[in-house]
Amino acid sequence: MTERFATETIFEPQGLSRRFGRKQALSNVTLTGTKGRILGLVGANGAGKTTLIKLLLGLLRPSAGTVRVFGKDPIAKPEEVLARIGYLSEEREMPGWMRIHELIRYVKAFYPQWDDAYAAELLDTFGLDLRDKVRTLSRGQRAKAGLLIALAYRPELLLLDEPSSGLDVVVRRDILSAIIRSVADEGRTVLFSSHLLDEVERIADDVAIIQQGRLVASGPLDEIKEAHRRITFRLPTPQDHCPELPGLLMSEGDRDTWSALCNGGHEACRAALAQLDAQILDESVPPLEDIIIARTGKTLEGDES
Amino acid sequence: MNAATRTLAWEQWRSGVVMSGLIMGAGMVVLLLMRLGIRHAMMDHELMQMTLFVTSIATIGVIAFTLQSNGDVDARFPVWLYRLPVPAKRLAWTVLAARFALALAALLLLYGTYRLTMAQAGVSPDRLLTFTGFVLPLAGFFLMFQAVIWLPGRQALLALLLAVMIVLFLRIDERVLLPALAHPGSALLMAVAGVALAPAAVYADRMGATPFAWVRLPERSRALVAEPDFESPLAAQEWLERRETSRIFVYIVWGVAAMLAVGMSYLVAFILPAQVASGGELYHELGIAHLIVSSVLGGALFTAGLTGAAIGIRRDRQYRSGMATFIHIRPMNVLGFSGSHFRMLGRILFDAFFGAAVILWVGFTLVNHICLLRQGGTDMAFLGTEYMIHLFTLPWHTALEPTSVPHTMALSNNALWLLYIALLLWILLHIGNRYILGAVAIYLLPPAVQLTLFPYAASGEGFVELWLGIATGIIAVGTLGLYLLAVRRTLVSKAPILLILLAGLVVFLAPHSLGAYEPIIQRIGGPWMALTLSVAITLFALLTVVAVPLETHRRRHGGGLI
Repeated sequence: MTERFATETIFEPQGLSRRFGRKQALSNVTLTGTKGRILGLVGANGAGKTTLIKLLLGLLRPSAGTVRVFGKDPIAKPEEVLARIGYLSEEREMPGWMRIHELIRYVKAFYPQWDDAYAAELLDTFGLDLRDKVRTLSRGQRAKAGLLIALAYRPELLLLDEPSSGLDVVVRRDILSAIIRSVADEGRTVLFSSHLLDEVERIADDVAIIQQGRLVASGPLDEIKEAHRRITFRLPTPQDHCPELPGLLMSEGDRDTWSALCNGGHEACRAALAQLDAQILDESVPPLEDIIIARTGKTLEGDES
Repeated sequence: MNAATRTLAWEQWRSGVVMSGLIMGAGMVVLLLMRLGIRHAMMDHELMQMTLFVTSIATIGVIAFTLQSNGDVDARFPVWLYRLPVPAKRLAWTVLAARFALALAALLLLYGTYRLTMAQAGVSPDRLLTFTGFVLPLAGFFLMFQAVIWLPGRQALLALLLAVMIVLFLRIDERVLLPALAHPGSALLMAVAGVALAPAAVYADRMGATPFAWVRLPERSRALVAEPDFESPLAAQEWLERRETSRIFVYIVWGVAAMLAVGMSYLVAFILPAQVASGGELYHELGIAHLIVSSVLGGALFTAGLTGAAIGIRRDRQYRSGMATFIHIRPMNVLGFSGSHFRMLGRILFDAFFGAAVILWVGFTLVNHICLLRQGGTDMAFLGTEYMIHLFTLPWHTALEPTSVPHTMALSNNALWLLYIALLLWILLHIGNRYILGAVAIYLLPPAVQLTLFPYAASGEGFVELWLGIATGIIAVGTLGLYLLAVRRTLVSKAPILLILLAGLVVFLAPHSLGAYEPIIQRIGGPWMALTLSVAITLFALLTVVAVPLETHRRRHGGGLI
């Protein structure tokens, strides 16, 4: 994490909503992306992650609310905003007829700050052949080509929509993580959406959890995790239901031994358990996945929990 | 019929019904408008021209059906269907049958309208296109052409098919060839060939066959260092637009021009000397040949221009393929996008137009001159030289082709012009730009409805004339409103608007003062009709310049303009 950059706001959706016909894709989302930090956008398929990213890019017009990126409206001033953004789309849209070198030549023309040396380095790292046509690339190679043209001009804000999708595990764990980390270390900002929670936990400084278009939780990852506790306790007399506890989000148990996931007020929770004469067996910071399931009632694959 | 077959057939019907409606709707609107002309006495050659028109529009429709709306010769069998657990034979026959049903319905609709229209003109049934001479051959052609389009290596086969047809038309007397093609046996033969070939084509395509891979030319080596950086984002965008839309189009126009050059060279080099030998006057025969070349060239290039414009304006191919996101995230405003787009459009039209003119001029003029020198002796060579000098002006005439529009328009029963109108309508509809579609609908729907519901009303022509004036006014106000909106959003610059107004004045209004509209004034009546049409055509050009950036802006930001 790069604390020295952490005060400057890079993007700021306020009360943002977007509706597609009768479907409310995003509802009243307020979020802040600060300079030099990596924000992981987490949510199940169809939760509204891509919609939020497209609203930041000005590729969608909000139904309600406002968006500011670098202090500007991306719809009113697209050329000024987009010049400072690198974007990797989920579908990796690129013209199939283009060869990699044509792709680079075309994109390079729009960004005066294009770094040829960095592009060559990425080309080498990703093992891409300049003569290959986009349509002949595998899904993973397309992702690499998309990453290359999003990174090579060193954008101030990098928006990556499911960047891991299609990448093999080595590239995902080592290369992608290293790139994102180095981008943030240079004082640039990254927003990436993912449903791979281990990846988000490994890379992100901040996290925003979206469910059915609503922002369920957001903030620094450490704080979010610290705010939650999984407490395992044994009751003196077995019960069919978990007792009411302050900040209880989710519980599971077998009548006498229960495991509760609580949000905030750990002291109050402990006090409540003490009043019940319950014996606390274990207390830990839960993994992000458990927090999301507790908050949304679903796994990121959409299964009811 | 099991569930899989029913689902497949339904899907084909669902995806094709809009397309069929558009194509045949355009054809029928034109036919209905022709009722105006039919009320006047029709001469034999006009009947023949109308027959040519109906056949042409139906053939275009049939080809468009097989290419499934995107006009792409590479439009193979829908690949996603290969993933279904259905054998190739059933896939092929189900999709073929569903599309055939649509095409046949559209053909019958067009044919029925044609018959009714001609019956209204009092033409005896034996002089009309017959069912067996029109619907059956085209239906058979559809089945065979569709199967060929599905074959791997279709481009090579289509080229071969085209070559065979050209040779057939050149070598066999039309009095033998045309009845043979119109014979029910030919239709049956084509249909059987198509039905038999379709499963094999689908099977081979599904298995990824590449039959002509061995004739592929070696790839040109492309090194990164070989191509310099673009001078500006505009240059890069223009390059992408050109590569996305135009290369095939330009090559097709050049190819058609080359075929015309070969065909007309053959005509002049071998047919004309025979005509002269049997008593014809050389200069007269050459004059006819020149007329044919001019008409065909003018028609081909005018149509090519319209098609090029449609390809350029139509953007939904990019939107369908997801290319829009790739383009729209580039730091460029809509003014830049549409500016580079129109520059690309101008460039491809220039390439297509003048490339074709040069091919025709070189191919046709020089070859024929040599042939005439060899076959005709001094007199012929002298006349050939005069003719060649005359044809030197061909590129110039080609450049001025748009100025002949009012004159062609004046010949309202001219088959070539009717074909233009049909193609123009089809292209306008094909563009898919909501503003242009709206303007076309405002302009044409009320007269079409009026003429359909009250074909014999004495006030019909008056209504049409009045409505065209009102519609022109509505479109003018709408265009002005859209222009102001575009200016407010800084989506347009003034230069192209002024240029179009100037072009409108020169190209359409100037011929008015030269009397080019006299025939249409005499034919339709209403002295201000020609002026209304001129203004309307200029307005459509203005609307296009405003509509493209507005639509780009709307789509870039996912809908809405304000």
